[in-house]
Amino acid sequence: MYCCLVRLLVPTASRSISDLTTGWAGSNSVVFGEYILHAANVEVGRWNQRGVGLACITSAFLIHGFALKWGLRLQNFLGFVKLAILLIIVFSGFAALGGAIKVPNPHNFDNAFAGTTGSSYGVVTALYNVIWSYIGYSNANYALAETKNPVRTLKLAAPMALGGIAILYMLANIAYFAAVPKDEILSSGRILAASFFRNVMGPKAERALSVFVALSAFGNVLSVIFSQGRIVQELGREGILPFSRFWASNRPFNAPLAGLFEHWLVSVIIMLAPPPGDAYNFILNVISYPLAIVNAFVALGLIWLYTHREQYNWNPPFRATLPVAIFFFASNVYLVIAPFVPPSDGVSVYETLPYWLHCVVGWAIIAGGGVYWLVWAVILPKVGRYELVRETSYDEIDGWERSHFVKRPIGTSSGVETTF
Amino acid sequence: MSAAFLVFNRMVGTGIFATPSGILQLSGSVGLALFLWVAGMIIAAAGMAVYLEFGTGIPKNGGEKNYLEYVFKKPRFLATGLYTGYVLLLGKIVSTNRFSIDF
Repeated sequence: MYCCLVRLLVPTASRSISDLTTGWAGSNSVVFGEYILHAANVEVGRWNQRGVGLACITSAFLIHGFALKWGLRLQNFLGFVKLAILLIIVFSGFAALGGAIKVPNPHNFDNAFAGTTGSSYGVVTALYNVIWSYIGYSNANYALAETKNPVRTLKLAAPMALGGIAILYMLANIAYFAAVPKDEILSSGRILAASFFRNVMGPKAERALSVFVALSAFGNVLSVIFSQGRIVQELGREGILPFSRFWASNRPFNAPLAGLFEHWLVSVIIMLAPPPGDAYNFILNVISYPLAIVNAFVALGLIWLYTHREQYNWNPPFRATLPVAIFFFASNVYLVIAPFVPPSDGVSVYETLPYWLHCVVGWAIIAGGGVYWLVWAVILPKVGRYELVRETSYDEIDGWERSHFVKRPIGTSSGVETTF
Repeated sequence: MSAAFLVFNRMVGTGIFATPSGILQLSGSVGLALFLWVAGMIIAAAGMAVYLEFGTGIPKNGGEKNYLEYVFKKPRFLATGLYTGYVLLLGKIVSTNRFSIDF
């Protein structure tokens, strides 16, 4: 534990630790705003929530753009705060189950299936939100770039982490249900954790712990904007983006200011554009919906590899196995199609927006990528009489392969740097 | 053990503080809400296995962009183009294996 703490607090000690990569800056900023306002005893309204959220994401942008080391220290420290809060909820949940609550027993576990929805829209939307809470599963392999025997460690560490989280999440849910009456859960919305603290520990603890939940949301904003800034920078380095050099730059403070700014801007627009009551759900859905599309293709890709072995020299040290790939593919196809079935009993996730909006926007974004491809890889090369070529090089430091695109004028064999 | 902790810390978001109420509202009952938490975990576990196979087979920066490029080679660079739009507009839950070299 001590070694983890040191590694988390000293950014240079560990190369790959620096992102917690869960959630997304916009949605976490909203959570930050609601918990901070709740702790300050201020009624959450249309503009104060947005104002605090804006302040939150802007501070994250400024810290990571101008004081990188402190940003990383803060971000890693707040990761610990987040785990501590989760453990506090789980353990006081045990106490609540034992009867140690300041309100009458809510009896949520008697007749637990009473009121179950028949709406497939409700079920699939709920499922999205659950999967979103596990979202880091897709990059477990990055956590271990520096370990000595990564594959063997991963085979053990990844299922252990997932299993541990699954248990904690179940216990946290049971804790909420043990201490908060159903009506209060429904009315408390995203500040459910605050209601829980009040019912178990009283109003003083409620306000103090709300601040810590807000801080852990801020930690997530920091980590998301940190990694997103770098992914944009990386796309710039590969020569995929227009004005690639601008995005690839590490000036002036040895941080990808341009990439960080891009993510700040998109987050702010998505945070401010939808009606306030719908902002959080819309953000969450519009991000997670296309992710299901991508995941369906990733799973399909693996099934394709399994069934066309002769075309690919595919011998990874870890096997998901065909049934698991098919299951993941089928789940994601369900997640892509089901949200189009109209909600029957008025359980739409939105107050004012149409229920299908995030699906349409999600597909539009993928289609936008298709248009970009058409311009970047088909039309512009035709007009400019060049050929787009991907060149591969190996990184001197970690030995990982990286590629970048160059424009090769038709009829020559040497590449010219892409500058657009 | 510390590796498990790293993955663990990465995966926990603020969702567990913010979404259980919405999930109860959408599912209508405590029983179904808890069941959905288990179902979501099973899907996440399958996804983790798929991503681990790709991640260990193609150890490069950029995650699924590389996986899609590796499998879907035609039309040329289409996977790259589609994926770029997605990343720019929505952001990506991302790895930073090499980025911290800049420090």
